[in-house]
Amino acid sequence: MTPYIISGLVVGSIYAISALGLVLTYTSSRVFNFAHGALAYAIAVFYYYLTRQNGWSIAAAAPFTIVIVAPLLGLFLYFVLFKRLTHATPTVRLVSTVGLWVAIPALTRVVFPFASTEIFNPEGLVSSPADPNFLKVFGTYVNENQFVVIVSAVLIALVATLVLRFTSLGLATRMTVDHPRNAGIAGVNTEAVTAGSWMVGVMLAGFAGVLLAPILSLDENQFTFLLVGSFAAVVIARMTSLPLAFGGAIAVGLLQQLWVKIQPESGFFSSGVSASIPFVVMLVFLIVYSFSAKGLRTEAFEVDRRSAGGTHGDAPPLPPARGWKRAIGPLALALVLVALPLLFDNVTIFGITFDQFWVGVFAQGIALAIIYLSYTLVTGEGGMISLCQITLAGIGAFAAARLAAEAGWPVWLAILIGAVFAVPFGLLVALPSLRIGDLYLALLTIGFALLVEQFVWTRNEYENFGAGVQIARPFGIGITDRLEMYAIVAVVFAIAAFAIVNLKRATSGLVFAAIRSSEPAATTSGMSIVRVKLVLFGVSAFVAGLGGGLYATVVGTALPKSFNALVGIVWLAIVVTWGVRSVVGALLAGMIFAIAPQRLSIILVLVFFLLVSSLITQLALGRAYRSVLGALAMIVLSVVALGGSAWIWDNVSSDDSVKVILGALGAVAALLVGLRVAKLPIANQALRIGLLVVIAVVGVWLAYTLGGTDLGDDGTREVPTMLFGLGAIALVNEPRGVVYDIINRQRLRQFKQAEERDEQRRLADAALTGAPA
Amino acid sequence: MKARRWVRAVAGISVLAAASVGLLATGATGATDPSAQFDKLKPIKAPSPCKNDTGVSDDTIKVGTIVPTSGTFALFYSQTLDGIKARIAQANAEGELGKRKIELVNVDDAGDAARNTTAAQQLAEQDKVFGIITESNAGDASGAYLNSQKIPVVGWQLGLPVYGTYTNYFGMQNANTKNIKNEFTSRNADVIKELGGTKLAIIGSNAANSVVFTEQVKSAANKTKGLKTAYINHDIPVGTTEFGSVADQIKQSGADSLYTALDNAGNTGLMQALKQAGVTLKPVIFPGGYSPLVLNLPTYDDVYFGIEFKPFELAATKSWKGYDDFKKWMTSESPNVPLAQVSAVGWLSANTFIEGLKAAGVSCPTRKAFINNLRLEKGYTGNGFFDDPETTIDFAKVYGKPFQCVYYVHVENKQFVPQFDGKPFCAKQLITDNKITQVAGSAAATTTTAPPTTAAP
Repeated sequence: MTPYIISGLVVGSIYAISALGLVLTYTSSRVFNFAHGALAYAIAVFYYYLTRQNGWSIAAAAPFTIVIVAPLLGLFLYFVLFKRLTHATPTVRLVSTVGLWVAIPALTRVVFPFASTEIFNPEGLVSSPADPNFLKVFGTYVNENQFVVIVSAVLIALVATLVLRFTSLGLATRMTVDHPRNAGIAGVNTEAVTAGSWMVGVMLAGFAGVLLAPILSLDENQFTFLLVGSFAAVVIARMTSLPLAFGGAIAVGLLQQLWVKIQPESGFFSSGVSASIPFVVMLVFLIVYSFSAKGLRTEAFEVDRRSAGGTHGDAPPLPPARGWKRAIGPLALALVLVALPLLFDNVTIFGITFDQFWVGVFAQGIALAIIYLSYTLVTGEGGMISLCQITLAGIGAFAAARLAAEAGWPVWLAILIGAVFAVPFGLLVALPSLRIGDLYLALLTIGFALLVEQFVWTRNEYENFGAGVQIARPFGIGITDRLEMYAIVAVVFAIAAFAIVNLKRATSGLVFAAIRSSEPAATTSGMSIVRVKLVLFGVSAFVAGLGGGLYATVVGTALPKSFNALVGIVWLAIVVTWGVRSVVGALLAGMIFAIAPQRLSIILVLVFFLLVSSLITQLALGRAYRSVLGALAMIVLSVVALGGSAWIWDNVSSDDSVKVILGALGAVAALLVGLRVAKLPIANQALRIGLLVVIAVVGVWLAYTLGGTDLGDDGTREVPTMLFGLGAIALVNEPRGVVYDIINRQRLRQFKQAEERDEQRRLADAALTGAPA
Repeated sequence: MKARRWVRAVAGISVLAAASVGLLATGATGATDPSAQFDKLKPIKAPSPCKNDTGVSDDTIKVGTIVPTSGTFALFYSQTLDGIKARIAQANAEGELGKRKIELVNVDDAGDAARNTTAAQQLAEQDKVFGIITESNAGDASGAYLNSQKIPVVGWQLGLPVYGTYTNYFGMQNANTKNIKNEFTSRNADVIKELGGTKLAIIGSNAANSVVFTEQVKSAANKTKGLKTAYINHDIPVGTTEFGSVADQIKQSGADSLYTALDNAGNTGLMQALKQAGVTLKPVIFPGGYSPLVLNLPTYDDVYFGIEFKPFELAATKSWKGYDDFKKWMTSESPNVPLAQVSAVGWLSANTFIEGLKAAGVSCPTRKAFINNLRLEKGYTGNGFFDDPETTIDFAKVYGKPFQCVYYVHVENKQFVPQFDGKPFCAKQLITDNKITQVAGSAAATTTTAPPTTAAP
């Protein structure tokens, strides 16, 4: 028995180190840091860069990495991102760390290209190779690395618990999170406490990275598996209890290892069980907790009405269009859908021939957009964060492919019925969602996605040696009949979008808004939350399944890897970036996801164009925006900006333009951070100047690296993923997405000004009456 | 209550859906000799006067590559691209294709099916390449499309049925069977027995490929006299590195030999755990991962690797120009990339592609002649990389069949030592639909290296 227990303790401790980091950052900031594993990976790569590439000794590199670099990275991220997260809406809090999770590994590989190749035997905290016979426990040897891992997990759990519970620092931290104003009144420097807790959080991630590198090797996947594996422990701890997180992690590790002793050698349960154990444990605890007296509801601090305008991230609605104006939106969309394939008929612009190939890419993009419409329903309308839409799409795709390939059904019917298959699974996921809060729902759905991925899609009926399940196209459309396929997905998208827009406009839309903004209030008004949530999940599962089937038929095969839970996270990030409340946002997101890998420069130039035109508009117009003259001027300036972007594209070869734009973006990022630091109220002048110098150096280095490295074949490939992630991070500024931002910029500004005035008036009133605000 | 009704309805539908998904079952396909279709093939002469085919101009031939160079699959595949580039650089520098030079267009598919299809379409329609060299786990996705376009494709056949399904596909050295799951050889079991194993432990990850390949090894072992499966576990989660429990299971089972289908991190972890548990197994066979980098790993001592071409170490004993070229051009083109299985696979794929161009006629290569004439070629040795009688390639004969012969190396004192006198080891049995159909003879066998996990085939 001893070997199993020791193994279980080691695996459990590895989970525990990750889980403790997650719980600690959550307790001290109320942000569930999905990027924890990615940060650990990035810091481990940096550590490798020091030890193996530059010959630093462990004694020098380990303290430098863990005690200096990691906390500085934490401080940097705090100023750029985390600072504004603690009191943001749940969606923003979740999606922006998800964005970081997506962006960091890609960025790491751009900056350290060696990380794209397999790295053997990276250095850890003990000199490698580790002594295999380090310790003997009941006749079983424990090696040096295993020993260090177990001891570290115990130490972190102990120290963190003691500090949080029994020191004044811990008290200040807890107070800052729960009642920032009261903490301020009590003389706590809340900004310093929050910044400090993020520095500690990233330091823990860095420690995990350096410690686990020799065990996990420098593979992003391994760190991701570790992170999601530790979710179970985090759920057991209800996000906040360090001892429970530790115990839960150890329990999961022990379960996994004890299973090895009893598992069957053949049959259905001979494969996929071990990998599923953490997710099964997590789902069981979520369900048990949700039925317990305490429940897993949203806690009071989770919604800060200031950032949400009182309506949970909802935007001030546009005045409804009347008469013929109502047709403008749908007509414009239809026009674009019809015009695209007609425009892309062997036309050469900017040195790229737009032809039937692109129509095929667009068909893929629109099929994706149909899947993304399911996010519009669940997350946009329902305000619930589902990370398993991709799994529902996969269920639709595989059901369709197998019905068509194995049962011989007509493809169109198979796709439709395949979509119906996804519905019950969507409803199953929806059931617990009725009783748990936003964050737990996100964990539940990713748990479900990973469970399906590990237990079902690893099987050969689906994987088929990487070939997946082939599926023909409906109505006898051939592989090269791009236009026909495009027409089908475009029509389906139009119908689905039309249905969703109407759903939003009808009474149901009001009901969704009411529930999003306050569930208790909605219940009091006699609305059935159960029914609404089930309907939303059910319909969205159908839409996802339909999109999945269509996506598979456009691609020609349903492949498990296309429906990987982690790809789903990138999907969510990009949908939310472009606008999760809008069908146009879904369309743009789908298109960009399909196009970006093809021609990166298109995306970069688009980003550049949006930046330049919005800057020009802001500078030149201000309030004149809404007048006829202002609108005209905006069009002219936009055309100028577009022309300028086109000129860049045309005059610099595509690789160079990528470098130039990346370098410029790096410099701009550094400038923005620098300006922010310069205005810091907490630090004294010397510190501010010091920080400015550091950031300027980092900025110059970043611009130089991004603009000057030979991105060539390898580096640039990671850039689209990186940008998807960074886009999601930018949500902190505009939680409603790019589409909303473009359409409602002016209204939004007025709204914000009104909000600020209200806030100031409230504060003034409070000061006068002497009551706490 | 309304809510209750909803819940009941949901539960009902779920059960139905789950049941209907479960009812769908896969079927197996029957087999005739797939090579027979080439019996009447005649060589096609290069047209004269020359009318340039797609992708060919008077001084260039455009060739596309599809390799995952980003995302998590890049770890495993990206260095094949360095091998391809090195071989093309050599061909261009030495004027192997007459007045024309090869121009590479590299596209990344990130190992994703959708991107693989788009990549193939982009190369065929946008870049208008002559042919494609590809090394990707998602290579099957674009098979039907590239076949419909009659574009020559050369690549790593590793675990991809497409190389035994479409005649425009050429494995860099061999082909594949269309029916990988049910048609394989006993080679892995045979070699374990040959090296002294009697009770075999088989460890694989829970990735689909790994489950199937480990089951194949088990099936073959149990059909081999004097060898039986003592322990099999293909439930190792991808990414596992802690193997204490598995090591104990192996110890309890009394196994004396080991076959794994894990990635490098997994193999390292397993070997370490076995060492700690005081278990010594011989032989230990890793199907893939031949690279000088693993020699520094202490746990890889005394391990055997299978490779589909001759071990580089043989170049020290006998002059081998093909290897010297490989070394020279890799060193000049990609000095940081190790000479390993992966980079050699890229090199050999490019070599086979160049062979196809030569077969089609350097004066005026056409796609049709490439596909036709390369298929007719016999005695292809990849410039000495597989020049033993058992491994020399007859492209028509290997089509649609798994191949049977593999070279083995043994790690001794941080050195690879070629086994069986540097000769290939060949399978003794072909197993089709769980029955032995052929004993020691003509072409048969499983893929060389079983893809162990999703991350590292």
